[in-house]
Amino acid sequence: MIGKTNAIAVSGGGVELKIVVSVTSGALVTATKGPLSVQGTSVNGTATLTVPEAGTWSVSATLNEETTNTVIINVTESFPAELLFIDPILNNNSWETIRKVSDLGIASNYWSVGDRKAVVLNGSVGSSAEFNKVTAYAYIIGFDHNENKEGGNRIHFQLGFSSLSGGSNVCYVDSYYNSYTSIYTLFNINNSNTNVGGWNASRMRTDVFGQDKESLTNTLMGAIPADLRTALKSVTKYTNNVGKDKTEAAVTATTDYFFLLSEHELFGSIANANTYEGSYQEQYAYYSAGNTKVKRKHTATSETAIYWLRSAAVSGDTMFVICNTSGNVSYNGARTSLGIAPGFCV
Amino acid sequence: MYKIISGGQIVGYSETIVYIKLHGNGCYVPCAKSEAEGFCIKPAVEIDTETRLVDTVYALTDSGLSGAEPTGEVEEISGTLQIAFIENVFNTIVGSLPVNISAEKALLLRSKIEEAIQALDLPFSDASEIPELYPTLRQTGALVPYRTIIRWTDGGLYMAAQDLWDLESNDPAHHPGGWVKIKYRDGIRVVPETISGAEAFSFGELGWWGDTLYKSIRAGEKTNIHTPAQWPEGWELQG
Repeated sequence: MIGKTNAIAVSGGGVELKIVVSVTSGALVTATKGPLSVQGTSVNGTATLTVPEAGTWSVSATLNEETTNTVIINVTESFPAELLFIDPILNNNSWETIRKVSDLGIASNYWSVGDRKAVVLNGSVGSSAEFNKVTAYAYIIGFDHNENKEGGNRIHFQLGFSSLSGGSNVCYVDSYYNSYTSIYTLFNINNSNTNVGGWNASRMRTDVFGQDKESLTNTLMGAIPADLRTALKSVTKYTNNVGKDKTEAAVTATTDYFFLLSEHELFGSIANANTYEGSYQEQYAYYSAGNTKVKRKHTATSETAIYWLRSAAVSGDTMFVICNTSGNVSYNGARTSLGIAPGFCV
Repeated sequence: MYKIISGGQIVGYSETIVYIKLHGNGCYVPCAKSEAEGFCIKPAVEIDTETRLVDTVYALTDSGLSGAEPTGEVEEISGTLQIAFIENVFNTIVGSLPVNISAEKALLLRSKIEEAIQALDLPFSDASEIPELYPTLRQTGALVPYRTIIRWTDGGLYMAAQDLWDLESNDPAHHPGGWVKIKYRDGIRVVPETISGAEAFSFGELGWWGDTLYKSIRAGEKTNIHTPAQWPEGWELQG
């Protein structure tokens, strides 16, 4: 049962409405509502007043000719309650249920890092990747990850795995993988070799992923099922959003529905990014547990793939950080089409 | 800070540790220490000439996790004391007051120490006390002259029994005939059944023959290639 009440049930039906006040012992507490008035004396620091009806009551107290402030209390006879059936197998729950459990901050009581749920991708993403009802398995990479900076009550997922159990950890590639052209919207960070503006200004963030729930044309936002789109929560991500800048001031926030992991979020250390990113980010629990960082092409799981991270490589103004086919950190010119492994929150 | 021990040897240190178990779908999941099948640590690893912190998984028992991971145990130590210990060792070696030193400078210092030890041509009894300071093979293709002492991956010291090129095909594992493993007991060499030229004993040098201690009395440096059994006149029984 989910919900809160300030009333307690009594025998014989109905409810007895009480106001419980914390105040100095001996104080005379008065609750008034229009012509109605109820009084009681505080014992052991608490006064309990039984009021005859619901509504807005004004409560104050007096002691030794001194009067306290007045507190307005809304006493209600009805209160919302919702019962949820929560399946311990993540994949058996709807995105709507997952969202509600996430809202209550109790997701980690039911599910585990690494749990997977099927997501059917359908439609074009960018101009060179067509998903024709491709079943991806999103997996949990953290609960309330870095919540002080990114927001609480969030389950962080990443796409994806090739199957519900076992299978390959994959990234998504388009038909221009490991090459480039400036004509199309590819799985590159930008259409030219620049990291100016960092993640915030990148084409990947807006044109490929889509950062509002109305940007559905040729975006990942448009390719996910509507029920997942409804359940998505935005998340605050801190990244170097300047480019070739090693100062702390370069690390600023974006609000994202989809994001690439940063170097620190994947590796738990920084070799190529602005080192101050590490002060604003945490390594995801899935990866700090030692799971492989090697990903394979979703189109050919026998082949490992290079995939993008959202951190600009600060050694120059053309590169972003990548994870190479050995699972190690490196960097690459921003215009090259590589794999993407998007993260999102519910 | 954590010290990681695997196969009876210290394999690394880590600032962090995450206890893990295996998920039903095959991935690792963080968990409480009490239910852990293994752990993930971040030791410093050299990748492409750069030192990186790399997530590395160990199972706590042979049957833990997937069974494919190496087994290891972890010991929590004081990072402050560890750093102080390393600095003390360093300062003792270089005979200096505490200084800041870069990784590049430390590597240079190390190579100079290795060169100096080779140049000293220390007797084996001294070598046994400082095996860590002898160089190891790096597959550089460089010449390894006859009688060069190296440190090998099994923790032992080996002497080149001939001129060798520093190649994988010539290392003690792949070309055992090119090397002589130096065996010691209590800092004194064990006399081999067959003494090669590289292993020859010098005048006055002690050697264990079985459980009996002898002293080589053949005149000259590295001249005695006969065991006490083969040539008793070349050895003097020690009381």
